[in-house]
Amino acid sequence: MQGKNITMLGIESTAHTFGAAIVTSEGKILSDVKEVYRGANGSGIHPAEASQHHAKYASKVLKQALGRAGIGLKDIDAISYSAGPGLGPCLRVGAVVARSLSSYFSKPLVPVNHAVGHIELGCLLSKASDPVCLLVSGGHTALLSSSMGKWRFFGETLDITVGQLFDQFGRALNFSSPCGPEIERLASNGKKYIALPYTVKGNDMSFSGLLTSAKKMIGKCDVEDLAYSLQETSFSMLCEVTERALAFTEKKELLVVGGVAANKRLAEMLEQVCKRQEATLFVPPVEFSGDCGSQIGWVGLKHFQNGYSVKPEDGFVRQKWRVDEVQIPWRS
Amino acid sequence: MEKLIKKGAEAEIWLRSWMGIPAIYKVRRQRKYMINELDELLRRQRTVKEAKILVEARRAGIHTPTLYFVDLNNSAIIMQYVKGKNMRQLLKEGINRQCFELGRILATLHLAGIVHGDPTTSNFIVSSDKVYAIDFGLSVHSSDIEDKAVDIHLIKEILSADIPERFEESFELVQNGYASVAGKDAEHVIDRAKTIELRGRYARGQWG
Repeated sequence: MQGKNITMLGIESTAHTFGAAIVTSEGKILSDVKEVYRGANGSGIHPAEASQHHAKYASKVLKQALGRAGIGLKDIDAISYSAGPGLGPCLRVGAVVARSLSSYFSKPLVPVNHAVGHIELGCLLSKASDPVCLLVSGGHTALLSSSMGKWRFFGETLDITVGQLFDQFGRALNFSSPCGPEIERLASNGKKYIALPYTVKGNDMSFSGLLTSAKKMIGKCDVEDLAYSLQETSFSMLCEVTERALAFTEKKELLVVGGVAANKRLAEMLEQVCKRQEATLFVPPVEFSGDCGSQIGWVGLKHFQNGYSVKPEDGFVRQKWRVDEVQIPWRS
Repeated sequence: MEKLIKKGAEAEIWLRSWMGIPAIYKVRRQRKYMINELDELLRRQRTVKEAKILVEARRAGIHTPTLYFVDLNNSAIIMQYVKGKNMRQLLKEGINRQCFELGRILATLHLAGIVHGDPTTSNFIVSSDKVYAIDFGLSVHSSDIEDKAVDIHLIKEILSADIPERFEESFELVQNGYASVAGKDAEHVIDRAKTIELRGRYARGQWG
């Protein structure tokens, strides 16, 4: 496959986002279209409702992605889809769409790990080459670094993710998921720091005690101060562990990806961490930090270039699939 | 004589003279990315914790640098200079036999009710074939199996990330060293460490 120009369709449907993108082997994103499911205020993602949302928007999103790229399905070399990790009903929508297209148009099919998608698209867009990666979203909170053909965990959450921390706290305030932007807005007006549990264990972190304490404080103090304290405490934990990973690996690049990477306060803190460790911070454009078709298309393309694809009948989904289970031949 | 030996994530390690002998000056400097309230609290807590446990760990029978002085106002500790290589460097050079000793050290601490809290390979120094444990800033007093198991989980995590090519035999040595001191308790702790690993995001455990 190497040498030839490849055009890849990537389909993302792990959680709240149904997305489709057209990506080329030159690293160009010809189009990236998405529709995002939102639950009722005070509730999170209802998997069945989210999957219905995805089924409803799938053809519209696909048509727009092809239309904006100015190509037809026959011009696509292969089709990749997010095979996991994620919510089963949501994953299945993307997989069904991808399998159907693959079988009807006789195109190779490439299953992609969603988290690898975040990391590798982040590298492509920010031009990081061998970074320590902070992946911080609703599904993940981890520090990863690649060696011997895999992205390996240097540290991660021992329980919930920062995305879940914000979502569950936000839902207790009757916001709708994802609640990060609303909490960031509240926090920017907070002034007084309220002490909350800070739990770093080696390179690992725990956020569940922090969530419980913060929820208990709702109604007992100023909500802006509380959001500020929640953000400062959790981000300080993230930054401390990030700095440890940089110091330990002696790598000089830090990449931050995932939905929470859109938070400006986090970016500002990580910038200072990098300054202390004489490293450079790489942040992909905000529209590509959250879930999108491009992350799937780009990694699918890299796998395909390395000779990997499956038959439509083998296009399964995996709700549980750790990043370090995936062989990354282009990083060995 | 004053020389910066290492700039870690949390502290600077200086080699300097103290009462006429070479000593380590470990100072936790302000971290500007954190708000002051949090930074000051953490630096103070960890300096106190580290100083206390340095002494207690030695009493429990493991090698640690001797504590000389604590300067709380600057969140600094002055202690014995242990000349040697840290285990991370040795592992990178392909030498992993001290992993057994690392396991013994963790078990010895655990029996004394101390959980290291940060047992990464760079926190063990090999000096004339003795292994010294350092960096007790995240240590806790605990005899809880969960806390002990987190120590095992952390060393496993760092070995598998940092030296994937020799991870299995190195971690085997850690477990054997641990069991040589902890006896049949070792099995429970190592089992719990596996449970912690399965709680990791998207790990495939008993539910698929």
